[in-house]
Amino acid sequence: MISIDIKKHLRHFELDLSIEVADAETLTVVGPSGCGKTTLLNCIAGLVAPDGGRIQLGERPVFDPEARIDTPAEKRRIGYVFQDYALFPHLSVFDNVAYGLRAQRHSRSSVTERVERFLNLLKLTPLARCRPEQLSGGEQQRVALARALAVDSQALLLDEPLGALDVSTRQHLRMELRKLLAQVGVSTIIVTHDYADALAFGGRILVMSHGQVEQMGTHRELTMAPRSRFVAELTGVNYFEGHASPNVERGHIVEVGKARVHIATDIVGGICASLFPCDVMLSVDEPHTSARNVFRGTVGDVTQVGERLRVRVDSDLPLVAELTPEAYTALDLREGGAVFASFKATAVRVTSGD
Amino acid sequence: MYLLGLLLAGLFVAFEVLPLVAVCVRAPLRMLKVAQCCQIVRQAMFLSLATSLTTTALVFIIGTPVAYTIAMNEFRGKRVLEVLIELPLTLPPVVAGVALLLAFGRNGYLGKHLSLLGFDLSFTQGAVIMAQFMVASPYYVKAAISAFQMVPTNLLLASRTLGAGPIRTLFTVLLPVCRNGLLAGLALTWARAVGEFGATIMFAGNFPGRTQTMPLAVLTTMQQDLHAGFVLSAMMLAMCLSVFVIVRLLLQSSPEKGTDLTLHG
Repeated sequence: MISIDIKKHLRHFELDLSIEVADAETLTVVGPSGCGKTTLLNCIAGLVAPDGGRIQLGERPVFDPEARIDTPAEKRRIGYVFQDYALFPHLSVFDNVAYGLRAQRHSRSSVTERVERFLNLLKLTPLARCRPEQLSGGEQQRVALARALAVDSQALLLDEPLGALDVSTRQHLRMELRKLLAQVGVSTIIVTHDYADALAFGGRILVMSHGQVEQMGTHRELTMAPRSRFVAELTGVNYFEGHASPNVERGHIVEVGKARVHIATDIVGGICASLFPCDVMLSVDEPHTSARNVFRGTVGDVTQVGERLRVRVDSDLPLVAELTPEAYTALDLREGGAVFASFKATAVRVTSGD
Repeated sequence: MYLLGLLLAGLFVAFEVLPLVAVCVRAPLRMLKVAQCCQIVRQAMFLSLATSLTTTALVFIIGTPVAYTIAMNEFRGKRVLEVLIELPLTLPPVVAGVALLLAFGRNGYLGKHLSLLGFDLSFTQGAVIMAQFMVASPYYVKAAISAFQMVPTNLLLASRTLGAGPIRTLFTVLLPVCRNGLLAGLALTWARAVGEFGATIMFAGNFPGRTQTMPLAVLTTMQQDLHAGFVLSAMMLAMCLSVFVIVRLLLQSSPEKGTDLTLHG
């Protein structure tokens, strides 16, 4: 288990986090570049000293100013995979993986045995004699992982592990990495700016901005109840804040600017609401369905996300709808054209704004 | 454009190589058999090799930590320190010799006190080494600073997270990664030290067998016997070229590409 509770003054904001990662758990930290993610990892690894707080690995405190503990990086036993992998260019793959074991004065036979085990685990055995510069990005990443794991680390930190890879290998390696982490069973913190990475790794996700926890939870929790526009935009759900009041008919109405949105819960007052893009239906003519919310707008930009298209609709209530490319073609939509966006009152998930 | 460039390059190389060829052609190598010439060559050659190699070793031992400190840290006065280290590059060697004499000579600022303690530096082999050190060390320190600065910080941090302390990181990552840059710097320093003339003659004098290195021997012999001077020049040329070739081979054999041996001195 890793428990972290640190404060660190950065140039534009303060890093102030409190996180616990259980044994064998993978926590993915997502946030825009410059939000303090790498500094967080550097603090845990002992490469940067926090201004205050406490970092503990299992029962072992490695940073605790009150007890005058600040274990140097080389004694923390935390595996760190750097964004650029930081492989030693003058050493072969084998010697890179052996580096930490030799530094910790393992016997020659134990070094060979462990290195071979991890080369095998990461399918690197045929490359043992190569130099890092001869390897592809994905291979370099595996060497960096093998090197960090070989020293029997109690925790693993991965800084943008997929950031240096091209898009086609990314998707494949996400899955590989997830399988591998499950196999080695070490508490892991992964830092990324891409929410799709976090989604692929599966575990808890910490959304971070300006050095603070924006929201922490599983992908389901984040999309079901995003606590802020920032989280909603990151996870790709529609989000709006407004004022809810009872309606004469059934249900309540939320006023969001000029727009009036029907909701199926009877909350009153300031609320936040979210809505999955796949629950938003598009049509060229005014729809005659049971959907209570219908907004007339124009088609904004269209982006491809995985197999599906995301269409932004500019109306009184800005919305994003998700549909298949076939449906998009069938509807004969074009950017700038008129469109009706509709969704059911029950599709809107509401949380109290306070 | 390409042809013009090629032509210029040809002229450039001819200008540099032609005099060297002339030295080799004009040197009557049979004169080496003449006893007197032979003795001077032997003494001067040995002295040159011994002092220049000692200087290079000292520059490596002292210059490396200095360069490391400057490259890896930000501190007040860093720029000033860098300028001071490079200062001897701009100094005419003769002036450097005079300066050394005024500081460490028998009546110099420090020399006065040193001679009271029984040390007399001027006109000794120690003085030869000091003169070479002053003039030649900046080449290495400059090269080492830029070599250290080129190393990605993450390599050093990765080494730390893998359990290697700062000292181990220095010897197993930093120095090996910088090998080519450091070697190139050392080669420059050695070349400058072995050819050092002005500062040596001012501070160490020109005593055969004691402080008369090859360049000084060339001058002295030339004044007595032109042809013997040619022979000495040819010998020195052979010595420098062979070291140059050896270093080039060393750099090529190293696994990583990168810093090339560039003699910009």
